[in-house]
Amino acid sequence: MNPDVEQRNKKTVRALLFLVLLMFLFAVALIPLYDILCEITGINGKTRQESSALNYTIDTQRAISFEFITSIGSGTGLEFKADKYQLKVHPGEVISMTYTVRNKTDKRMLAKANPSVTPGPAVSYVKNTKCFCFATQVFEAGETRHLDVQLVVDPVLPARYKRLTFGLTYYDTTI
Amino acid sequence: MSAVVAEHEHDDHHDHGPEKGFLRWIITTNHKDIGTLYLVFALAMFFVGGSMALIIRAELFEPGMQFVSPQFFNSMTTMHALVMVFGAVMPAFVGFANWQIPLMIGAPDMALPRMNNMSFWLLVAGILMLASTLFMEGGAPASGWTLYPPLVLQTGAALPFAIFSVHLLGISSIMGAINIIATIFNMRAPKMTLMKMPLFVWTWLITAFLLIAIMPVFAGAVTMLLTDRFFDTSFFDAAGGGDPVLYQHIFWFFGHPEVYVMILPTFGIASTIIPVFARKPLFGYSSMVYATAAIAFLSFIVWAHHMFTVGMPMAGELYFMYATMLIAIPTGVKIFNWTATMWEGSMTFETPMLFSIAFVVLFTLGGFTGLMMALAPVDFQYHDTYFIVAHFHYTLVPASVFIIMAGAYFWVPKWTGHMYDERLARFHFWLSAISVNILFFPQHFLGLAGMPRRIPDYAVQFADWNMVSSIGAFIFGFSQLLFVYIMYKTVKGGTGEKVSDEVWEDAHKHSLEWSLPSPVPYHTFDTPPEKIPTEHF
Repeated sequence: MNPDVEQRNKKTVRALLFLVLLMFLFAVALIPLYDILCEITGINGKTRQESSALNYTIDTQRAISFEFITSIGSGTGLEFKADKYQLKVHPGEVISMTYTVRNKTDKRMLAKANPSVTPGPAVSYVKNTKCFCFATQVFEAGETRHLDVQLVVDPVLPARYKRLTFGLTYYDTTI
Repeated sequence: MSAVVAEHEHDDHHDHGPEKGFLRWIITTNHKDIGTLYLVFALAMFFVGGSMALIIRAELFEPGMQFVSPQFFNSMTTMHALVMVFGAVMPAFVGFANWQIPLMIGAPDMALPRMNNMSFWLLVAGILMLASTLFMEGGAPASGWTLYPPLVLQTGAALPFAIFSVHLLGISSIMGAINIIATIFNMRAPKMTLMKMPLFVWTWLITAFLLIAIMPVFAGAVTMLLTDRFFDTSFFDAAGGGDPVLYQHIFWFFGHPEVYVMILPTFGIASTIIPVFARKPLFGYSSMVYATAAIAFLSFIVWAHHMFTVGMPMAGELYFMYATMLIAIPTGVKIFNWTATMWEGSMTFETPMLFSIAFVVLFTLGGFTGLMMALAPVDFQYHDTYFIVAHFHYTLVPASVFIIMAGAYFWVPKWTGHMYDERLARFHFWLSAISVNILFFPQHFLGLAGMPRRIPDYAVQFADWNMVSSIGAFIFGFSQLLFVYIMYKTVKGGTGEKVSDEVWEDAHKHSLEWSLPSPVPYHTFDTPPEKIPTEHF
């Protein structure tokens, strides 16, 4: 092969290998990018913990239906229930709910609960002021515990949202 | 490698023909030999993947469970897809690229012949590793070819093997793509400017860039699956703060361009064959090039139309819906150009042309159902039903696979110097063209009526059309044995009729390879050709 072509081939290969590397790094970079994007847009419905109590004026003109659902990850031996399934609330008012969690197994368990709000785009209006979300907790064998959550719906919630669902899922994180 | 060594190797090539004996096929660096290896391997995998499809169709012949367990059924849907995509369709097009690109641009060989050999054998290694998962504890992957977590993480011992085989196949594809780009950029005959290249070369150039852009992303995604399963990371695990939907985004960022990797070379071969048998230059050459580039670009920004039902915000649904519908414009340009090429042409209907015309018609049909799926509000009804199965099989089987057959019939006389049996080949065409519609058309009805995909059993209301579809599948599958017989006979001497150098009337006006002797000598274009055909303009 003519040496000139050989030189050009080497240059092309180097450039293309660099592109391969760049695309691999792009795939890795998608992980933090996705988290940032979700935080901005609320795509995956994760709520954020508020650092201080919020003081909204309660909008008594309208009421929304606020629902609580509970679930457990596969293989998680917990019984997990909210005391009520549904509340009628006014935007701005403090919503309190007590959950009952029982370790059904005869072993000590580490577990944590992840929250989500449906519909996803409404997540930025649901503020949790008190939640056991994301924190790893220890449940002794057979232990039953009552846990409280406090939420507030921002009164600027657009009128098209008439029903919001707050979900919590417990995962067994025992190593 | 120093210039002196390079010169020396160059001289060696003049002294020897192909290596004698079996070893020739292992150590060859000749683009024609490697092209043949790829094509033969693809044909073998077409039958492996096809047999899996027939197991699926046999189970679905009647409602209820007949032959296989649900787990094995799902392994079959998964492995059928992986084998057909990575083992049959992609390697077949790489085979054509190896044979044809140097011949079409007037180059002596591919730019990196030894890497060429390595990328073929890595493909074989990757597919063998994938096939080995069938015999592992817990069975082959059964989560669908998309390998969605958390389901895929429940795969047994097969998971790391499946992931490593994806890595090998990815490396093989990337090496093939680099080779093709280097060949096209640096090895063209002096007068072969980019806008004079045959369209098959153009579509492969763009496809190669797609491969380089997406394969590393897919490799990254499956590596994260691997660490999620074995190293306690939680990229896609909600318990650890990850998100399984993120996998779907990354997968389809790869997956959508990937389906175009399988269709762009199809467009290229169709654009090569239709003008020859219409005896006219290709209509709208430059618009074909730009349309291909536009389709490739759009393929990167439409991925989430595969996941309308994950709960995206309305703005996302609308964006992905409109962006997807945009693809119909450059694709429409292509369909109209092929039709305009045939318009008032002196058409004859040899087998390659029959397959190409069937491609234009049936691919358009597959494109229309694609447009239906692009509509976010109605996609909720079709999602994960047999409607999507019908859609992508129409764009893959009577499109990509038909054009692979067309290309084989079109070039095999050139490659071997023997003419295939035209009567048998036409019989093969009509059997395939009719049975493929019996096979896939009823699946539209099943999907619209709500039959889910990847389920081994179904409600009795779906029984009739499933039976029709299965009958079509068996006719289509067994018809392909005829193709093997025809190709075998052609290689062994064909009809005995000696083919001329240009094989098809006036083919030399369309592309360089037809001015070479038939069969093509082992080494061609050691000095670049002086003149190039001008029929595109």
